[in-house]
Amino acid sequence: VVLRLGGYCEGAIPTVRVGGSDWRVGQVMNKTQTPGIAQRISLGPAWPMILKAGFVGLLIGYMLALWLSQWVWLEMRLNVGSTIPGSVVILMLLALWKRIAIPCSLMLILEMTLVVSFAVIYGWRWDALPLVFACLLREGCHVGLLRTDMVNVMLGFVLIVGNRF
Amino acid sequence: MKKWSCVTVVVSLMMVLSLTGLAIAAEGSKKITLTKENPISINAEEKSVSILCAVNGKYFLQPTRHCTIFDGGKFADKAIFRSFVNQLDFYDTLMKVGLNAGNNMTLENTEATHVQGDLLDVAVTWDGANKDYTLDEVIIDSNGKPIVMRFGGNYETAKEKNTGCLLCLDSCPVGIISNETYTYGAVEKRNEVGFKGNKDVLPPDGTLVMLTIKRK
Repeated sequence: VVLRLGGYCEGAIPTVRVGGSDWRVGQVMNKTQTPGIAQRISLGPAWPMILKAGFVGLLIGYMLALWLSQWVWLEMRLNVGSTIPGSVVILMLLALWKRIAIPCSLMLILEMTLVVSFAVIYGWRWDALPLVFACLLREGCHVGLLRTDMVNVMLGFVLIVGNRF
Repeated sequence: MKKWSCVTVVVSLMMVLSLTGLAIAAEGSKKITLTKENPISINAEEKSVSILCAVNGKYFLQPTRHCTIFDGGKFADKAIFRSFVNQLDFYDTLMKVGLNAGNNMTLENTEATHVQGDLLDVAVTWDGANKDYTLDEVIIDSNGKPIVMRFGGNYETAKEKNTGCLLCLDSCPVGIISNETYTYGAVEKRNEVGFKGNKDVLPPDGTLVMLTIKRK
């Protein structure tokens, strides 16, 4: 039995419950210990991994939306903000399907790149930051009449929670 | 591991702190009478039409070619003002006050034709504003040229395309009213000009504003 695990930060040693016993990753099972192929293998709750993938999707979606919105022709025709919910859904599905391991350092790199991208596009205008990020998400989620301060409160919550996974 | 956690928390806190810009309401004497349930009105005496809209702060920061679009239209997110009035009702109301549409724009002649029709004054105001502002005051043309709005008409195209366009910032074969100064494509194809909402004059994102249109 080969188990591929993902979604945990470096340092954590996940255990796997197989046929009623806990196994550490790397521990070798022999044939008599290995349950039949139809045996259900429980990997424990997958939601932290899926939510983490969703958070990474949010950051990637923002990056795409931020740069695509600078192409006026495209921006006037397409909902560039839809890259945000789109990336979230795709990454979450991938995490669910393939159990991709997402290193914590990737989140940090993406966040830093996002801040630098914003600075490159808008200069160091921090007053513009809440407006840009809220408007892109609002447009992407088709809730154009939601006020940006409301969107920002939700976004702030997601940022704090997302960084804890 | 702990080092990464600390850094990510610090980064997220920095981002959250910078996301907390809250709006400060202006203190002036103007008051708007329209509501979302009743978003359009006619002043028979002045022969003017007023519509209710919400400010879209996105276009304080980046250029657009759309001034006002109906909330239910395909391009609702692309305008400086999101209107609560359907483009076809808007057209009908303008006709009711006796305005004459140009109807000279087609999808074929669009890049070579300036919109015709009655010359219009568009005033913008909101609760707490000090006065009625002109479009030139609330929208910045990157070339500094005046915005010259005309009643283009385009009822059939507006109905067929359902973009929701009420007021466009270049001559448009779909918008009901558009800016004669530029031909179609000036913003998004030829990069001749960019229009942004004037954040130093307009109220914050989401604020309800009233646009009043009448013959010049």
